[in-house]
Amino acid sequence: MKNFRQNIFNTEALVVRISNFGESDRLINLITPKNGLVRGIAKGAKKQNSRIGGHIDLLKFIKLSVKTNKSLCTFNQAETLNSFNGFKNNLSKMSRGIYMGEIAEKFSVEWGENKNLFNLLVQSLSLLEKTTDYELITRWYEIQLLRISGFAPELNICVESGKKIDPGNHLFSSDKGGIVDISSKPSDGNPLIPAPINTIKLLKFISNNQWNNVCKVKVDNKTLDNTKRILKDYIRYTLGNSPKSEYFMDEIIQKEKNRL
Amino acid sequence: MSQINSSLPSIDRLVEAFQRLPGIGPKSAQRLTYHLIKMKREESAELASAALGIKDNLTTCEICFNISEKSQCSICSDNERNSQIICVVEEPLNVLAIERSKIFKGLYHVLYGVISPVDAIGPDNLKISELTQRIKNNEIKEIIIATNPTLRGEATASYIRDMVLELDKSVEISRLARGLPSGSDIEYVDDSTLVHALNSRSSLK
Repeated sequence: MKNFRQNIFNTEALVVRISNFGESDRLINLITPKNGLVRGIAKGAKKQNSRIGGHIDLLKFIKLSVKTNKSLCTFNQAETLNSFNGFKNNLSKMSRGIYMGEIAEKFSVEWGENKNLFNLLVQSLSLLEKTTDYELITRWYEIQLLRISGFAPELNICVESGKKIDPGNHLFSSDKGGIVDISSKPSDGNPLIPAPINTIKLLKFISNNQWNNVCKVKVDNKTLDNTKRILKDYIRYTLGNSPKSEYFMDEIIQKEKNRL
Repeated sequence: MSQINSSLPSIDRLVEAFQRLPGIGPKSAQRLTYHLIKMKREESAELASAALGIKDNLTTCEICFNISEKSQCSICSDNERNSQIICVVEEPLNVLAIERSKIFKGLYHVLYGVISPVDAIGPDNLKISELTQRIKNNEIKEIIIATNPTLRGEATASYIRDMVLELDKSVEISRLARGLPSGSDIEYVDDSTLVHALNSRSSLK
C-alpha cells in the first residue's frame, strides 16, 4: 500500500489513460508494478519545450519520478522504455492494445502492488506488437488477466453441481464463474452461453500455458469466436459494465472481416 | 463551486461563473471579479457584449465545420485557395495554428476531437462521415492529416486513411512530418520522435 513517508519515488509505468488538464497540463493514469494504479498530473506536458511531454502518451512504457501529494501525484523526469512503435499505422493492433490497457486499469487497485498484472500487460503489448495472431493473443491476455486478478473461470468442475466436467459440449455461466455441466439443471440466473468441447479445451489450454506454447496452436475461427463470446461476457459481468474500448475494437474487427 | 463566500450574492455569482472556465480556480475567479469591480462600466459592458456576441453571431462553417460568422467561413469562401487539398485537424484552434504558418493554401476539415476508445469516443462522434461526403462530392487530390502525434491522433489518422482508400484510391493521403522541435534538447527527446526525425532526415547539400 501507499507509504506516505516515501514522498518521491522512481518507478516503471505504463500509461493507460491520458486527458488534457488546464492550459498545458495532462492528467494521467499509470499502472505500476509496486504501486498499482497511480493517478497524477504532468505539469506543462503539452508545452513544446516540455521535457516530459514527449514521453507521456497512451500505452507508452516509461520510467518516471512520482511525487506523492495529498490529492493528485505529480510526475517528473520521464524516460521512454518502449513506445511500441509497431502499433503505429496499424489500427487492428492499436485498438486491441487500447482495450488491453483499459481492462488492466479496471482490474487494478490504486496503490495496490500487482507486479504480475503489470508484467502481463507489458509482455502482452510487446507480443501484440510482433504477432499477427491478434485474436488469440487478446484471448490469452484476457484469461491470464482474470487468473492474476483472482477471477479465473472454473473449467474443471461444474459450478452448478460441483461434479467433475466430462469432455463434451457444456454451457458457461458468467454469474457462477465457470462451466455448467449440460446434464445438470441450471438454477435461475443470467442466460448460459454454449461452450462446445473445443472451446473448453482452448480455454483450459490458454489459461494454463505461456504464450510461447499458445502461439503454436492452430485454432479455427468458430472456436475463437465462441471463446471470445464467453470471455467478453464474463469480463463484462466481473467488471459490472463493458469496457468502453470494446465497441471500437469490434468495429475494427468487423472492418477487417469485410475486407477479406 | 466556490469555497470562498463574500456574503454578496452578485459577487459570488460572478466568481462561480468564472470558475466554470477552463484553468480558472477559486482564487483566480475572485481576482478577476474584483478586477471587474474596479473597471469602468463601459469596459464591463464591452466585455459582456463580446461574450454574448460569440454566442449570438458565431456558427460552424457548413463545409469545413470551422467556427465562422457566416454559413461558409472566410477560408472556404476564398476562391484563391486550393480546394483540391484538405487539411484535417482535431479542433478549430488547430486551424489558427496552421494559418499562422502562412504556408498552407488549401482548405480545412475540423473533426472536433480524436478517436478515444477509452472515453467511448468513436468515429461516429467525429465529423468523419462529413469528410467522406466532401471527398465523394468534390474533386479532392490530397488529404493532409494533421491530428496530434499521439496514439489517439495516430488511431484517427489510420482510420481516416483506411476510409479514404476504400473510397477513392487516387486521393493522395499524407501526414504532417514529425521531428525535433526548435529549441529542444536531444537528451530529453523521446525515442519515438527520434525515430521519426532520423527517418525523415534531410540532406544538407
